[in-house]
Amino acid sequence: MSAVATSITRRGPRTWTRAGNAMRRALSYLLLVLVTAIVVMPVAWIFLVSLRTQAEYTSYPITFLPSRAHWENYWTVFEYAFLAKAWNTLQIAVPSVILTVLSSALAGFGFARHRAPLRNVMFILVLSMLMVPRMVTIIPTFMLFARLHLNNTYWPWILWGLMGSSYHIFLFRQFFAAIPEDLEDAAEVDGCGRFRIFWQIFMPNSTPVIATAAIFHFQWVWGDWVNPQIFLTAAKTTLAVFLQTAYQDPKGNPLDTLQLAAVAVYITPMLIVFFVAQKYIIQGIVTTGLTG
Amino acid sequence: MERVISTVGVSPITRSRRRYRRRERGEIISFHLFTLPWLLGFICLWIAPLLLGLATSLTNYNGANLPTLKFMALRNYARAFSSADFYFSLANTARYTGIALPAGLALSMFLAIVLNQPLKGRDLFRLLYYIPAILPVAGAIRAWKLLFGLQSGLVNAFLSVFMPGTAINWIHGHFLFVLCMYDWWHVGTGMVLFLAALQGIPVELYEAARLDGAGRFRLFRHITFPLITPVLFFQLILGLIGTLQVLDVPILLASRASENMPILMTRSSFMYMVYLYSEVFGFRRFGYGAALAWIFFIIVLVLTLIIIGSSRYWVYYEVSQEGEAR
Repeated sequence: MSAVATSITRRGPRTWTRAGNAMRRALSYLLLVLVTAIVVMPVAWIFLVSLRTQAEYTSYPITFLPSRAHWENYWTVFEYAFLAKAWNTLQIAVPSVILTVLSSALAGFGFARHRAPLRNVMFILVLSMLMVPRMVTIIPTFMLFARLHLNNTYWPWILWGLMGSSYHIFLFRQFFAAIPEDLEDAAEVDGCGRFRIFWQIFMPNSTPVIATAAIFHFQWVWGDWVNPQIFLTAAKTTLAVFLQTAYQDPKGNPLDTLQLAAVAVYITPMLIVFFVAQKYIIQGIVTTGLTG
Repeated sequence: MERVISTVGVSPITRSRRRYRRRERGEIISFHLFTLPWLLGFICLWIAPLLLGLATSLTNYNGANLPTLKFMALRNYARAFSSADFYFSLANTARYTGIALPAGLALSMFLAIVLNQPLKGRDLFRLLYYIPAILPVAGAIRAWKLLFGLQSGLVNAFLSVFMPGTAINWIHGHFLFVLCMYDWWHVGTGMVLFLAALQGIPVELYEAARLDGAGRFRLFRHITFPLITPVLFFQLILGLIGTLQVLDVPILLASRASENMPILMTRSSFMYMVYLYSEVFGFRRFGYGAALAWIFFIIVLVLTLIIIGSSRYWVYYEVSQEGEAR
């Protein structure tokens, strides 16, 4: 009875929606392509304008393509202190990434694989750190580090790295919690200590999460403007700060196209890393529900 | 019987219990060892600054007056509440958040729904939409200045095609719009999360409801939306704090960033965090800045608690609610 009823009610809407479906599909694609254009264009525009001369950039009306591609802009970029600042950025980023990932993994393993009285309270504390506006702690941290003569050194990043990060602790906890218990039990029977279980069983099996955490954190340090601006002086600062003011002629007029070429060089590693590791990145966002 | 107990009896039970207890104690110790780096950092780099900030907010500390430090009681707080800049920046931030956050969430949810259809190239679109999120702010902002430039800006050039001679000064005249556009440019982040949530919804639910004659709108209203509310809730909370404490974007977008202090070029870029930043790192008013930070913290905390409190009325938690699923 119900089968008959459904087959009848089905027939109408089905033929009716087929045309509607095609229509909806076409509209969806149109929308998606339009959004793609809007999303990608600012990035493409950086590269397009970076190939112009300053005179061409300021001329009006603007043209979509440069009259001639001035690739030499990309050489001139390096006549400024670009490489020195890139080196500064790496000096901060590499230790910071290693320490943050390691420390977050340790804590994540602690939270995922142990039962202890204070565990849940502590985990709530980990997450609640995300709820505190960062200026609330940055101002006193700046005062504290000034007293300890740590400002204008790279020590703050080392210390923050030792602490790990809430995002990545959460990421590792989620991942470690999903690993079957048998693996751990078998190792325990073999007399493995907790640290060896962590280091020789859990870590080697977690390369996707390690990659995700490392990429996210590297991206964060590479792009961070606030902390270098506050904690470092011009000599020691990173690319993010350097790029804002560095490209000027001797009179102090901005050299926009050079700056854009520098920005292009600055963002390209991130784009490459993203396209190479996109699977990990998307998976990382989805499993934690947290972003960058 | 008694002999058995005396030779074996005491040991197996208590031994296993002791071993269990030892294991349990070992587990607790090892838990604390694993989380020790975080805990040390939490205490030294989080709790200590938090309290230090609270203490500083009661003083007139300016970075160099430790010997002559004066206790100000709540005067820094009183000063904030009688400052025009405080109210202006707070209202400005509230306006920005009020526009950017809900629209951004709606947009990312909408895009996720569109992408949740069986379309070819879905993964590619998802990938492309995520690009803005991986771009460093310091670089992405430069693109934004380029788009919304007065003469050489692409947006004006585009509009000039329809209205020749369009030269809108976006950054100066419509800063909030430019800022919102920057925020919405990042919808890909939220979209990825919504998409993941959408793909977790069992297809049978839709099929069952469709058999019952539910239309597209009702499917969304009664199945899709309730099942993605946990993600929405999550993004609302993290998005709220993220949007309210916007700092680098308005500074980089609206200022000639000099080496020491960025000089703002338009009043509407004066967000709360920008105000706080300039008070602390421009004028060295650490005491006052710490008070501003704590006021902000409390505002954020109250808003977050309101959202959490309201969540039981609108966030769907997966318990057996068979009556509701229909």
